[in-house]
Amino acid sequence: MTDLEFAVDVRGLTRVFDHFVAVDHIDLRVRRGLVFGFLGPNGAGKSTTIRMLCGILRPTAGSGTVGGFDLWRESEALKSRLGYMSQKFSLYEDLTVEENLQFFAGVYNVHGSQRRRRIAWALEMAGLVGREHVLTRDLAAGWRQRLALGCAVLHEPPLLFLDEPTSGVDPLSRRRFWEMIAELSDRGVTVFVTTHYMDEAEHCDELALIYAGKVVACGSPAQLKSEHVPHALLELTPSPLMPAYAALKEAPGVLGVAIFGDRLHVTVADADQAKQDLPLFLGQRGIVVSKVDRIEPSLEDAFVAIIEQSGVQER
Amino acid sequence: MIWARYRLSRRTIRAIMRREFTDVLRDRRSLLLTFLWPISMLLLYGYGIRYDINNVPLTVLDYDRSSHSRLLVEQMIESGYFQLVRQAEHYGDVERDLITGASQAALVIPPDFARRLRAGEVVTLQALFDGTDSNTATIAQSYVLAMVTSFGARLEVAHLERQSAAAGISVASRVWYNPELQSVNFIVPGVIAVIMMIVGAILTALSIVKEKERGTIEQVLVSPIRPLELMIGKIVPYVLIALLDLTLVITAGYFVFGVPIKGSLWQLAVFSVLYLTASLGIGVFVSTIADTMQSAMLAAIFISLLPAVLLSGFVFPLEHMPVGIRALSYFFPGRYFVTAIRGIYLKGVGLEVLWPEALMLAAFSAGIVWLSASRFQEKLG
Repeated sequence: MTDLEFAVDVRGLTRVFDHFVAVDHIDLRVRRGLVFGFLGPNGAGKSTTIRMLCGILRPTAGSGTVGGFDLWRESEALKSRLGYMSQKFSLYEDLTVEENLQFFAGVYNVHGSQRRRRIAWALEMAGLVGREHVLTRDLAAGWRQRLALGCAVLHEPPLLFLDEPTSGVDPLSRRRFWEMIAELSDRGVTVFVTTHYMDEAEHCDELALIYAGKVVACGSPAQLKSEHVPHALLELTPSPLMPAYAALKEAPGVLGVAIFGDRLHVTVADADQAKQDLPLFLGQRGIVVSKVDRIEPSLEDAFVAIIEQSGVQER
Repeated sequence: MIWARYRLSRRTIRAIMRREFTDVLRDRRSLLLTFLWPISMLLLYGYGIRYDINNVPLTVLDYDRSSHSRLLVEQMIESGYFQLVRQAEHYGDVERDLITGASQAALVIPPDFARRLRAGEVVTLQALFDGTDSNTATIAQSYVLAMVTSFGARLEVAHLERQSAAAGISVASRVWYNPELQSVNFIVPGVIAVIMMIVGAILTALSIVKEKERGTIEQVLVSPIRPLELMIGKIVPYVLIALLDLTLVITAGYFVFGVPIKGSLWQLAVFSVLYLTASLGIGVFVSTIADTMQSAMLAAIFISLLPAVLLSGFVFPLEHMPVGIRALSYFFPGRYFVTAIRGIYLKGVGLEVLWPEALMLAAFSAGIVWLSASRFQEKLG
């Protein structure tokens, strides 16, 4: 795997459940050693994709390699080279921390001095030293996620799949978890992680956005923002909101409007001009604008733009 | 290289087994289910279900009032099976006792009883039973019949001795294999059949489906573990538990109820292992069709437990079943096992008689193991 350029390289990956196309001919290339974020709303096909890549779900169609192993013919060989952790908390709750680690060490055939070393390392990394004999069920969600990650990498896999690893975890634990991901990445592990948190996506080296079973965009966070949001972005706080939204769609120099909470993100051709014009334009229609700022586009802005541009229908 | 594909990792299997044991031993409910439950079931059935009866309330209407008729009634009461409620004066009393439930059986002795006995003629007695409790009625009926027959035979012998005349025909009936007609002797083998089914099929199915329901199976399947390793690791702990339960029930049956084993222990073990294999096969099969513990429980009860209780001859004699239902019983392993194990327990027979049962059990086990293993491989592989 050391001379491999792509840790994941698949084409036309498809999965059909009955008549529902969960994943629709997607191509993915993940450069070795990167943290690759796989983004999309719930039900877009993230988990289905990751499960196919891990070899727990047979694809309906598609070809390619994962970790250098053929998706179809070498899925057994692949299994000893990857780590997997899913959104569903998948440790044995009625075992203690140590027993879970011992169990997965056994399942992955990690033994002897290596087993001791790896278990000590996992305890250390997850911050669970001193809690070896606590029942897993009694751990807080954040600790459990870290333990699950520890179990998933006991056998030192060069490729790690994380399926929404931080869902249902408090923000502090999420940050801690991403520090662990960064640490693994520094050691050369390729991390393939799905999420629907935009702030988490910012931590990734590269991103792919999946929407309604299709990959609609790929690139680094900066790339995605600059390519898909080439124009300037203004943030307005108008009152009332909805009439302002409707009016701005017709305003001169406005390319797009999107609602973000009680504010509007307005894409404009010329930021300085619009900053002066738009409050006046709205004022003429009886709408008060309390605040106008030029902002850097966020990933969310980029994705709103991407999805609008892609023409893929929501399902 | 090709053999590497089939080589199983002992370490992996051991990890699965250890986890399974920890799971059973740590969970108080499963601990109760596996150890306390078989014993309480044995006690419950042993003391609760009685096919033999005592002190059936009896009304006697004696029109004859001779020494012979008094002797017959005395003998019946002395047997302990009957309890005299009333010496009736009129036939109306007999009817009233049966209707009110004061008695469950009645015996009417005709006026010429003694005279016709002495003359060597056939005498007909009338025996009435309250059929609302059909079980008691049937058993009481057989007791009355047995006692009247033996009374007649004894009279005949006395008669012959006195006259030393040509030999008459006497009916001597004797109950074999379970001379005291003790139902507990019957029940211990049945309890073994049911417990092995529960541990083998239900616990195994639940332990696999539990992992499906909680999602832990996913984490295991993504590892390089082979389905066969997983299956062996999952099954072996329950084999050990089932064998422990078997020993427990046999020992308790012997010491608490005094049920001895007439046949050989190792043949009992052979049949038990065959039957256990079948129930484990059913357990794995159920785990491949059910996705939740609840549906697994239901499916396992229908496929394993109910047939083991109802279609094995444990509770209801197979000979008394309608043809259709009896035919159904041939499709479940329970009947072969119960027949075999009763044979070994009570008659002391072995494979020389029970080979058809052994063959059928082996065939069933092989079939269900093949079916469930291939389904398991397909679902999880």
